[in-house]
Amino acid sequence: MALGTPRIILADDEIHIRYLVRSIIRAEGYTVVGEANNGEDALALYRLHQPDLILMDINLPLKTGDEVLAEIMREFPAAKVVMLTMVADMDTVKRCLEMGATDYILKNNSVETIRQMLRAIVAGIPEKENLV
Amino acid sequence: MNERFDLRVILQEIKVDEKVYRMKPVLLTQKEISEMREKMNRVKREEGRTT
Repeated sequence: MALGTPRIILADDEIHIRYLVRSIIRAEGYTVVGEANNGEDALALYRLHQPDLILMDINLPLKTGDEVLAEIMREFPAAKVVMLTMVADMDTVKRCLEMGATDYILKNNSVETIRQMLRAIVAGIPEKENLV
Repeated sequence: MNERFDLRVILQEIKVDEKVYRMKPVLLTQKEISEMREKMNRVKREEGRTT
């Protein structure tokens, strides 16, 4: 794992989900560098901060999470984008993974499972990308 | 029991049911998603090795 603090953007239109995930991220010692409640802001924040990781819902207003994923991957092929959603249909999951999503986490997992998955994802981020 | 069944109507209903069934999305569990991701990563790694 890197010495620096991983910088994360959180994109979800549900304030309670953002609160919960923000708590998990901060408890792990990671930094939330931005939060978006729609797809357009998520993309703008990504371009601005170029974080180590973005956690993003699929059902976002203005631009859906999978549309944002496609744009981020086109502009930043090494980006780490994790979908955090309740959308569990095979077509959507497959499409997101094929577009380059680093992982796909269902929101109905327990907090502990989400925490563990997040740790594993951050552990896979190369050190040089992981410094503040 | 003097109800009459029209086979053509029943077959038509079955066709409609099949269409609805096929349109129904297949929902995955987290375990299945993680397995799919692993499999796709494995394929990518193997493709990278052969090229």
